[in-house]
Order: sequence, then structure tokens, then C-alpha cells
Amino acid sequence: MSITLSSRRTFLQATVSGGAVLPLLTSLGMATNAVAGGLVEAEGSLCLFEADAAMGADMAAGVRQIGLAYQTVTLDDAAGWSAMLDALTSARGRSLAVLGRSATVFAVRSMLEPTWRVVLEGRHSRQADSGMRHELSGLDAPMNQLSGWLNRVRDPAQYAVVLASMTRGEFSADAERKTLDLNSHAWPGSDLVSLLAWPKGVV
Amino acid sequence: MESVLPPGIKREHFAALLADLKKVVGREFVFTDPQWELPAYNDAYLTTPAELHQPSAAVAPANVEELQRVLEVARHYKAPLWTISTGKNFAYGGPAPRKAGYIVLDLKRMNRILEVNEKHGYAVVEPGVSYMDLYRHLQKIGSKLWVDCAAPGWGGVLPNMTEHGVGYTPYGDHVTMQCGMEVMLADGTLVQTGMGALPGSQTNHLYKYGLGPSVDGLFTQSNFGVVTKIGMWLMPEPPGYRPYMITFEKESDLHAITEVLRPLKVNMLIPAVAMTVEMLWEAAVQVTRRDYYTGKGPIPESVRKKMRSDLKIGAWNFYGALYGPPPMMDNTWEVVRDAFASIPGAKFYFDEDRAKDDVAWQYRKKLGAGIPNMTEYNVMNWIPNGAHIDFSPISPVTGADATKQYELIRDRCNKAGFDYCGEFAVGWRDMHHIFCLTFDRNDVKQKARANKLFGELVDAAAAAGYGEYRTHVDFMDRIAGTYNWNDSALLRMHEKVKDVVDPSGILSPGKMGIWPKSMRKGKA
Ligand SMILES: Cc1cc2nc3c(=O)[nH]c(=O)nc-3n(C[C@H](O)[C@H](O)[C@H](O)COP(=O)(O)OP(=O)(O)OC[C@H]3O[C@@H](n4cnc5c(N)ncnc54)[C@H](O)[C@@H]3O)c2cc1C
Repeated sequence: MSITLSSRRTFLQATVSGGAVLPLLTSLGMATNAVAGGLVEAEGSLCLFEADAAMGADMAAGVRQIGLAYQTVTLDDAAGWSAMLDALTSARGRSLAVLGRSATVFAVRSMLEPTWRVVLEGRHSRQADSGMRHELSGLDAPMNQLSGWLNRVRDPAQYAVVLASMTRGEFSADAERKTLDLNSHAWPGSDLVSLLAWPKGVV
Repeated sequence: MESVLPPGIKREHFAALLADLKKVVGREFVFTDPQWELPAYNDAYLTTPAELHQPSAAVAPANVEELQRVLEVARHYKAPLWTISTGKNFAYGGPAPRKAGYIVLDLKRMNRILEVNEKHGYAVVEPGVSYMDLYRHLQKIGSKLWVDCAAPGWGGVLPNMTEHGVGYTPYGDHVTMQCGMEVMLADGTLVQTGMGALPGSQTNHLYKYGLGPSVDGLFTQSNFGVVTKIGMWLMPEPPGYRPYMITFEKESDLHAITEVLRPLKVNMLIPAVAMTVEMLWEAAVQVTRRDYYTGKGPIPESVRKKMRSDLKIGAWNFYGALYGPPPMMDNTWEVVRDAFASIPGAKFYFDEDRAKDDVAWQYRKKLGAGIPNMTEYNVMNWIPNGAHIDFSPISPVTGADATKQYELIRDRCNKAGFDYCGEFAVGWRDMHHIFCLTFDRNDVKQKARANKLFGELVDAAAAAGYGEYRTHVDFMDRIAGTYNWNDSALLRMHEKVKDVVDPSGILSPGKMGIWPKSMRKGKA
């Protein structure tokens, strides 16, 4: 259980101005300056993910590489649950990206609302043809931004980074909601649910 | 979702009501936004349309003084409130009100642990204190007292007790372990029950009954008041704890298991609530249905066999625990083991015999020692978008009753296209049969089927003389209707009490089938 709050801004500035490109960002196909903008925003976010083999990726390594603050979530022990609640308390005002199996994300969501607003929910399930189905529902605008990334990310860790980067939007409270059903190549691990939650005030 | 109004209240009055509530608790703690705030008060596990239970608002007072003023506002406008504390009553309605338009009275902010008494073994808590909170607090102060928690550790000590909830240590019958209650009546009067009625009482949390009628039970599973504080006896950490598991090979072993168990329970050789768990429950907390079977209908025996072998479980799995000094545990174990060994194929396990990553064993082991966790929520991973409502009839502890109930539910459930996922929990003299009716919450047709099946089960169980110990908001009237001896004398008495203690009918109308006069008999 840990929270990493690295100085992402400094890190990114150095990386971008020095012409070096993070392998992860390259693999995501992000233009470095656009990324710098987006990820500087991501300083205001926390990634919560289930600490389980079912995630199919070393989530901690993935999100740590990008310098994202994270907190693992488990349903299995009181200390882990308490650590998550503490992390939520200290994350007031920041965006949240949540990833895990259905039951875990349900439990986390029940602790977020109404302090946070879940602007996007994704159900990501493996298909018989070895592809991945993504059922997204939520606000139109973040969903449109996000949908383009589904085929570009390699695994849940990269998806978490993309989610967490979407911290701001010019969206009104009555912004349009929609659902979207998309397919992509398979991600490792089992079926997942994801949430993007913004603090009250952003929407 | 569109916003809704409380029943019988006009929009302009509602606006004035909200303004008054905001004056009491502050703007921040009155929630009205149907898109962003009120979904927190939906029941994600509904089998009926969400609109039927959508609140018009929620209000969260911080203390009894604010609560008193909230009730005053509600009385003034005759606005129905729906009381919740930690609000995690999933499988029985979650935080959602009985009817659309109610204002949820959310007591989460009243979450102080007022006292931990190490010497006499009790704690005094407000409504919003969860098992996790109390456990954490006891750890922090180095207490040697145990919490007794329901399987979901985020549930509340107080509301779980008021719902007649159960845990898994010898203190698992929560109503029995509650001692001393403070309750606010609809008119704002604060009452201390039992010994607490004596000013300066030294024994409020030591002796339950006080003088005269004992009224605590009137405020459990009820809408006669808002419970604001309770004392809860806590078990001192025993000198030894040795949980065990016994697996049984055959589905038909349920009869023998229950017969062997009864004398062991009645004679207190198994002090905690004793659990006989069917194999799919064991599987569902750790694997998904799809991992084993993608067909429709009941899972074939060949697949079930593979599951049992992979997960090292039986068709039925018994969980118990020994508590006390080691020589006592050794003696008791001999008796327990010999009794269950009479069932062919029984296999016995202690902690050292189960794998460290055996999810089912690990969480049961924690529950037996009052260590809260949330692992059981994993049953929702069994199928995509999993949700469940629980059907929980009570029966005598006999093999014949266990088998009859099991078959009654299993057959109807398989016919309706659902998996039987259930367990039997044996208390002092009773057996709770918990059937976890799991369905896909995104599948409208499946939800309708689950709802229909549940109704059929209520009727079939009642016809066989079995009543449910609690239920989902959607089935409260129907089940209250089965408790109809002598022309529903009990319900009529409840209604009389309701009319006296809450004449404006503001507190949780319809809770467990009890409606205020203005909403009774077709008026609702
Ligand atoms: C996977 C799973 C496993 C479960 N296992 C168990 C188990 O082992 N044991 C068990 O008992 N339950 C179990 N449950 C059911 C339920 O989750 C728990 O009982 C839980 O503790 C109830 O939620 P809560 O404590 O947050 O109560 P709340 O949701 O706060 O309240 C429940 C109800 O109590 C009444 N109430 C609440 N506060 C007050 C008050 N202050 N005054 C008067 N009335 C009040 C209201 O009618 C309210 O609707 C399980 C559920 C699931 C989904």
C-alpha cells in the first residue's frame, strides 16, 4: 500500500525540454508537448486500482513510471480499506481514476459519491474472439476524448494513466450523457470496471 | 434522472422545506441534485425500476440537536424521511427509500465512538460508526476487545443491529449484544431506554432491561424512532482462537450436517454462529462463473466436481471455530471432530491446512475473530454486472428443514435460470438460510425474472411455515403480509403504535410494512 506523489511537473519539464521521451508515452503515441499539458493536469489526480493478479499488469510499476499518485485497493483487509479511505480524504479536490474488478469498483464508488462525481464508467470485458469490449457510459465530452485511446493503450495500467490525465473539462452539470460500445485488441487480465470521478465543482 | 417531490408536497413547499433544512445543517449537507448527488442514495441492486425508489433529497445532520431540528422541519411540512446510518444495506435495499420522493435522513456524520469500556467489555457508538471504524479505533487504543462484524466491514454497528444483523464470533447475535439505547422520537423527544432512564445510571450498558417494559426491540426493524446511540457488548480477546473448516462431498450431506450440528450448538460446543456454505458461494468469492462454464442453466455436475477439486472445497463447507485456553479447545475439538466424522467423506482443515491465498478460508478466518473485511462482496464478480438480493427465511435446526428449504429454493431458482448460491447460519436455536439471488443488473429481463422468483419464494416459504428475518424494500409489504396470524394482529398493533409515536407519519413510512395512517391501505 503506498502513495507516490512525485514532482511530476519538474520531471516532465526536464523530460520534454531535454528531448527525452518516456517509453510509456511513446508507446501511447502521445505528442510530448500535448502530454506535458495533459499530465501536468494529472498532478491533480489519484489513481486507485485493485491490487490483484486479475489486473493482468503490474499496475504499480505502470503508474509509478509516469509519476502518478496511486493507492491500491483491496476488499480483503481492514488496513488496506482504511488506507484507501485515508487516501480519499487527502485526495479531496482531485480527480480519481479507479480500476478493478466489478465488486471492488462498486465498493469504491459507494465511498466516493456524492463528494466526487462519477463522470464516466467503463466496463471492459474480454470477448470470445480474444478482443476486448468496452461499454462506456457518462458525459459525452470525456467519453469522446477517451474512446480514441482504447486501441492505443497496451494494458490497464496505461489506461489508468490516460483516465487520470483527464482532469478538467468545460462541462456543465447538465452536460449530455451517452453510452458507447467499442471494441479493441485484448488487454491482459480479467474483466474490469473503470471510473473517472471529478471533484464537486469541476462539473 | 428527473427530480421528484416528496409525496403530497407541492414544489413551492418543497423549496421552502429545503431552505429550512439548509438553515439547520448548512447548504453542504442537503443534497438535491438528481444527476450528481442523489445517485449516492440509489440501490444498485434493485430488481425494480430505480424511479420507484428515487429520493427527492438527502439531509445529513451532524448531531442530535441538528437531528431534532430536521425532524421539526419534516413535521412542519409532513415530509417523509428515510433513516439510514452507514447506508450500506445492499441486498436489502441499500440506502434507497421505500418509495420515491422520500428525503433520506443520512446519519453518517454522527460517527463518534463515545466510549470503550475495557473492564466491562462494551463500546458506545453513534449511528455512523462502521465496523471498520470501531476496529481501527480499538487497534489504535490497544484494546483487547473484539468487534463482531457482519461480512461487509463497511456496515454500521448500530444499523446492522437495528436490522437484526449477524456476525461470526460468539457475539454474533447483535440484538442480544446490544445494551442501552438512545432514541429520538418523531416529536423530537430524546429517550434513554433501560437503565439509561435513571439519571446518573452506573449500569446503562451492563443490564439490558431497566424497569418496566423493555422497549429496545420496538426500535429495531422499525419506523417508531431514530436510534442515536447504542451500547454494544464486545468480546474480550480469548486466550486462543482456532478456526476450522469441514468439507462434505455430497449435496445430500446437508441433512446429516444439520443433525450433527444441532446438539453441538445447543450445548455451546460451537459458540459462534455456525456456517454451512454451499459450494457456489465458496466459488463465487474467488472465481467467476465464466472461468468454469459459459452455458446457460444449472452448472453440470462434471463442472462442479472440477470446481471442488480446484478450490479444495466440498459440496457443503462447514465453518466453525474453537475459542479459549488450548486444553479446552483440544477437548472441544475431539467432540466436534468425532461428531462430524460420522458423515462419510468429511475432511477437516485448520489454518495450516489451507493455502495462504485461499480467499474463502482467509476471510472466514478473519470474521471468526471479528476482523472486518469486504471480501464477500466478490460474489458479485460471479457473473458480469453482478448484483444480488437476499432471501433469508428462518427455520428450525433440523436436517429435514434444511433439506426442504434448500430444495424449495434450489429447484425454483434453477427453473428460473439462476444459480443457487446460499448458506445456512445456525444461531442459538434458529437457522437463517441466506439465499443470495445473483443477477445481472444491466439485464432488464433478468431483473424481472429475479423479482418474480423472489415473490414466489416468499409465498412458497410462508406456505411451508417459514418467514423471512428481514427483507429488501421492494418486498416489505409482501413479507409483512405473511405474518398475518389472527387477522394480522401484530401488524395492527404496530400500526397503533405508529399512530401514537409518529402521528405525522414522517419516519420511514412503509418500513417492514408499517405505514402511517395517511398512507395506509391503498393510500400509499
Ligand atoms: C455480500 C453481502 C454480505 C452480507 N453479509 C451480511 C452479514 O454477514 N450479516 C448481516 O447482518 N448482513 C449482511 N449483509 C447485509 C447488509 O449489507 C448488512 O446488514 C449491513 O450492515 C447493512 O447496512 P448498514 O449497516 O450500512 O445499515 P444502513 O443501510 O445504514 O441501515 C439499514 C436500515 O436500518 C434502519 N436504520 C438505519 N439507521 C437507523 C437508525 N439510526 N435508527 C433507526 N433505524 C435505522 C433503516 O431502516 C435502514 O434502511 C450482507 C450484504 C452483502 C451485499
